[in-house]
Amino acid sequence: MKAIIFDSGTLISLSMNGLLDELEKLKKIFDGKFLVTKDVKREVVDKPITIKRFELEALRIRKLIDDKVLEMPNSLEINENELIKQIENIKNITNSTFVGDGREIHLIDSGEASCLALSLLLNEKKIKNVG
Amino acid sequence: MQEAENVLRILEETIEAIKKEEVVQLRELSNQTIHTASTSQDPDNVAVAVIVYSLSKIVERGAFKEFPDFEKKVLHLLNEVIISVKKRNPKEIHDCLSEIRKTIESFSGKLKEYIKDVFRKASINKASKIYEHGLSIERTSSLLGITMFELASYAGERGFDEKEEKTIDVKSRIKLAMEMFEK
Repeated sequence: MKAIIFDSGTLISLSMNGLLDELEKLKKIFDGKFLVTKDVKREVVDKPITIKRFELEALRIRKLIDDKVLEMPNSLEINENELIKQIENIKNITNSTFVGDGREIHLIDSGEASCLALSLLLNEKKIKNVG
Repeated sequence: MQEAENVLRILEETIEAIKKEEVVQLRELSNQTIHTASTSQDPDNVAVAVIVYSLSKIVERGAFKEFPDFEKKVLHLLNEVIISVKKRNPKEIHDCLSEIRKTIESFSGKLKEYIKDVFRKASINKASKIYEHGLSIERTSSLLGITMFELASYAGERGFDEKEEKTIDVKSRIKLAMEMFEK
């Protein structure tokens, strides 16, 4: 089993450039799963679907989830609680690594952290993955 | 507010640049606030960057020439911000910056829609600059109050100078992708 983890930026770029169909074609020849986390889904579907200007892009991505082209981590039996724990851990490390004017610089939020966390958990399960 | 001295200088030079209608200078001043805005993520530093950039667009369009009272009001408000920064009073600084934005946005007539659009685009432009500083797309969008779609679309069109970044070269990327798709 292999997996490709999709972050928001990638899906947004593909969606805005009308390339989501390519993802469907790639999924057909891919011997594994295309994964999105809940946090990424929130950013690329749940939030933009409420904004008229981006509703179409959000609907296109939602269709991929409905059609199981994109799947959630639980499809590979990733434990939700473990994922949340790992996300918090990554956020804590990343957002306290750099300091400016005596203050920690907040670099990443849950979306990016969730992709890294998922990758770590997949590695533990010896599932080859890229993001 | 972080780096008050720097912000003070920027605001004073902004007033001079508006009076001399120096659009390029205004844009440069706006970019000078970005480094501080990226590291501090202080909403007021971010607001200064957006306001100065918006003013550059308003000057460029010649709106102040057309509406001298509008220019007078904006210059007055900028002076108020300077006074509050000198007093080092965070609440007053915040209130003054909000007031300046509200005043500009509430301008009636044919300029209204244009100015609203200017602010939106200024926020996206400044977001892309902050994003270039290494903050994530999600973090930057939330800091500037724009959507990730807007930022991704702008950043994608514009592209960044990646000379100093260390990343996987194209050949290795393709090799990795091919390996992933092997049966």
